[in-house]
Amino acid sequence: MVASAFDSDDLSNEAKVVVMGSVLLQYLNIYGNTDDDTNSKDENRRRKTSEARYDIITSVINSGLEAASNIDADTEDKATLDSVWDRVIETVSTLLLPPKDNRYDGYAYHSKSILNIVAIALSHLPTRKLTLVEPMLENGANLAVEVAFECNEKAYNQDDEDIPYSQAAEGAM
Amino acid sequence: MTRIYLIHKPPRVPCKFGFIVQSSVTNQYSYLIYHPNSHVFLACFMGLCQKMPTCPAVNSLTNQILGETIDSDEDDLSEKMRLQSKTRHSLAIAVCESLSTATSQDLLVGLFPLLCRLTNVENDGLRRAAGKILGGMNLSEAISRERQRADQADLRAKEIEEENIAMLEEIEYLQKENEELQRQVSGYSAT
Repeated sequence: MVASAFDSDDLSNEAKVVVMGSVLLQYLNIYGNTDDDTNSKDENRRRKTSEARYDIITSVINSGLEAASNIDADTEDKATLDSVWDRVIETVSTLLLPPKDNRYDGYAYHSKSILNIVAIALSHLPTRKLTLVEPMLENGANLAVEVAFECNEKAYNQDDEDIPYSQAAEGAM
Repeated sequence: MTRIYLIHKPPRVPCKFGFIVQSSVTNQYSYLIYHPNSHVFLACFMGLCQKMPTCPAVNSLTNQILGETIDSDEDDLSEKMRLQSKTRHSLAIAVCESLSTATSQDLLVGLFPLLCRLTNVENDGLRRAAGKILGGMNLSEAISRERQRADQADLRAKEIEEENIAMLEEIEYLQKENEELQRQVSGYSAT
């Protein structure tokens, strides 16, 4: 419902940005990186990550960021939207830098969505925020390379058959 | 394979497998359609190439991936090594595809030796990808720009040298004048 409402022209830019902020906050609360808080990670949560509805998140980010760009272009006070941009960057970081205990799910099942979300975020982020994006993309690329080789090795050794290592290796590249 | 399109206007809505970025140099939008099995590394590296082509990460990742690919280009590999080699080639092709969308000629000129070495590897796809970047490079412009920069540096060096000579002459003149004045002062004090 949220995704389809976003596609209509009835919602104002401000409303779209507020809803996107709220959806991203919710996403970060559930799937955000919490390597320092390993106790809160359980099997149930790991399963949920692989079933996350990235199609909805992609659609919300797409319309929300377009709305945010429009507001950003029309306002003098650029700092107003900084928290929104920062939250978007945090969400993309979570996608590109998954926690160690759930390292392969995103690459195996959601790499297309990750690609789309990165693309949409980069096409809308204002130039002043690019310095924050650089380390994120660099670390994301390095981790993807690491995962691709690691998954090849595991696929060859036929480790844990429940995890689709070949699929994760392909998604990582 | 990844296909890349450069268009002048973005589509109204980003398509499902699309990637739209605007070049800060040409203001053109690059619109990329991806192969469904090639994603996260390509998304990150292409983002770096198009948004921050001069950042150190682009150079270090390129040198790392292309360098390792060139060094490990061997014929006789075990099955396991062949699998790793295939991954390395896929990553190297992703690097080349990304570099071919970068608008920074400085970045490409800096990678020229590495790209030349890449045209000599066994893998056809990789050779073609490297050739495509080399073919798109405007080397004569880069050379003439560097020559212009060198000429300007030479000119500036000459100007500074002339200034230096003039200052040395000035110092010599002032020293002589100083000696003369000191002589006059000592002459007065003697009388």
